Amino acid sequence: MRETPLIFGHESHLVGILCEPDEPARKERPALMFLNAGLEHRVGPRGLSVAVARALADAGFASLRFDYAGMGESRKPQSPLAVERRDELQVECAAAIELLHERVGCSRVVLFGLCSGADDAHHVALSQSAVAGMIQIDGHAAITAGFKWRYIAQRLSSPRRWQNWFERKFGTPSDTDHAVIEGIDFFEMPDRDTLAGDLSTLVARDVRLFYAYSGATHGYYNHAGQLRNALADIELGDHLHEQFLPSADHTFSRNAERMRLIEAVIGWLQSGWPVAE
Amino acid sequence: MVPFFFGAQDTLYGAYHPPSPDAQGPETALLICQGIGYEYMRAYRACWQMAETAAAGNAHVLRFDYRGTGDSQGRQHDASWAEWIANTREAIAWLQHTTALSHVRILGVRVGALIAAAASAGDIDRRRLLFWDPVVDGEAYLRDIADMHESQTRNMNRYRPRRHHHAERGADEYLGFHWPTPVVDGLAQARLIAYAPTRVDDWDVALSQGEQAPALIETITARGGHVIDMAETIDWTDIRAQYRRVALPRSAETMLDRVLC
Repeated sequence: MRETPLIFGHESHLVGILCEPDEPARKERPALMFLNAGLEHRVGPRGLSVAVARALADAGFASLRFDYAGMGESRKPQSPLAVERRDELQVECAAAIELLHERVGCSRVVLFGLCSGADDAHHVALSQSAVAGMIQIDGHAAITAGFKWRYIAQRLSSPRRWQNWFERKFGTPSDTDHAVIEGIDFFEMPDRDTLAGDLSTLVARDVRLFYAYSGATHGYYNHAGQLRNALADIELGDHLHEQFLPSADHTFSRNAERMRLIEAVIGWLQSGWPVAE
Repeated sequence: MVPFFFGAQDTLYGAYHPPSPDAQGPETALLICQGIGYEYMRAYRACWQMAETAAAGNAHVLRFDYRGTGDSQGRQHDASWAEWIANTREAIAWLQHTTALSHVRILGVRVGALIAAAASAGDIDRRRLLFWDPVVDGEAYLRDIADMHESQTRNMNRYRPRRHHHAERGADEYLGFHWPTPVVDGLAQARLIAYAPTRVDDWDVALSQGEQAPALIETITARGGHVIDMAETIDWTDIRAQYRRVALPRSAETMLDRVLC
C-alpha cells in the first residue's frame, strides 16, 4: 500500500491523500473517492476513511480521501467557481475525479459517504457521469409499513423506553446522556418518490449501489431489505446491495463492527468489478 | 502548506507551513503537537489555522500525525507512547534541518503537551513550549476517557433489542480509537510536572474556561512563565462535546506571540 499527499483544485487549495495498492490498480476497476462526513476532515470519523482506504488498497482498489474547501487542511478558494455550496461540492468532486483519472488511470469512480457524506454522494452521483458506484453509510432510506410496525413493537417492548416514560411521568428523567448520536438529522432526507426517481436514473446508468445502516438509524431504518421494499416499484435488480449492521453505532467506532463493514464493502466491490483472468 | 511524509521510511504524515512571502520579523520555527483520539479530531482545523497564523508571522510551522494516527502510517494497534515521543523528536529534527534554526518552539495541545514535554526532556537545548489546555496527569486523563467510553457504549443502541447493547470498560478501545497497552501504559505514567525540575525550558500555558492545573500554574509562574486565560469554553472531557469542532481561539495571536517571542 502506497500513500501520496496531493494538492489539487483550480487554486491548488484542496488537500488529499491518494492511497494505492502496491501493484498498480487494474484500470478496469474503479477508484474510490471518500466524501467528508459532517465536519470531520478526510480521515473520517474516528479514522474510518483511513482504515477503509488502506483495506481497499490491500484488496487492489485505489482511493482518494480529501478535505472539502474550508475543512481540514483545504483552504477556501479566493475565487470560487460556484456560489452555492452544493455547486462548489460538484466542482471539487469533478477535480478529484480528474485527479484520480490522471494519477491512477481509472475512468470511473465509486463514491463513499457516511451521513452527510452519503447525501453528498447522492448528488455527486447524479451529476457526474464518471460515477460507477456509490457506497452510502447511514444515508438515504424510505419508510415502509414494515418499518412502522417494527418501530412501534420495538418501542413497546423496550424496557429503556418504559423506564424513560415512568421517569418523565413520575420523577426525574435519568436518560439525559446524549453522548450517542441518536437519529440522523445532518441532511435533508429526500422523499420516497424523489429517491425512487433518482435511483432509477442511477440504475439506468448502470451505477451500482451499496447502502449500509448502523443501529443509529432506528428512527428511519429498522430491518434488512427495507430500502428495496420501499422502492419495490422500480427495477433495482442486482444494482442495489443493502446491509443492516444494527450493533454498530453511527461512526462504526467499535473495531468489530468496523471490520464487518469493511469486509462487506470489499466483498461488494470485488463482486461488482471482478478482475478478468 | 506542503503535505508530505517524513521520518524513518517516510511513515509520518507532516504538513509544513512555510513563512508567508510578505511576512516580517525574525524567522522562527514552530512545531505543533496535536492531541490524540477524538481531541485530535476536534482541534484539527484549529491547529491548521494556528499554523497558518504563525506562518503569516514569519514562522516555519510543522504539524504532524503520530504513528498509527491520522494519515501517518501504521495501524492504531501498533502505536506506542515511546514511539510517539520519538516521532516528535524526528519532527523537531526535521524542522531544525529544514530551517537551519536550532531553536524549535512547540505548541502542545492536550496530550500533545505531555508528548512535547517528554520529547524535550531528553535534549540539551533550551526550548520555549506553550501548552494549550495540557493534560497534566495521564492516568486521570485515561480514567476520564474510559468513563466516557463506558457511558457511550452503554447508551449506544439503547433502543435496539438487548442483544445489540454493549457497555465496555477495560478494552483497548477509547471512544472509537484503539490504544494498545504500549500507549496506555506510557500515558498512564506521564505527568507534565515531572518534566519541570529537570529542564530550564520556558514554559507558558493557555487555559480555556473551566480548565484547571493549579500545580502547573504555580510552577510556570515561579519560573517567570505566563498563564493565558482563554475566553472560550471547550469542554474537552464533556462527552456531549466530542463531535464539536474547536474554533481558532480568540487569543490565538497572544498565544503565538508568547511561544514565538
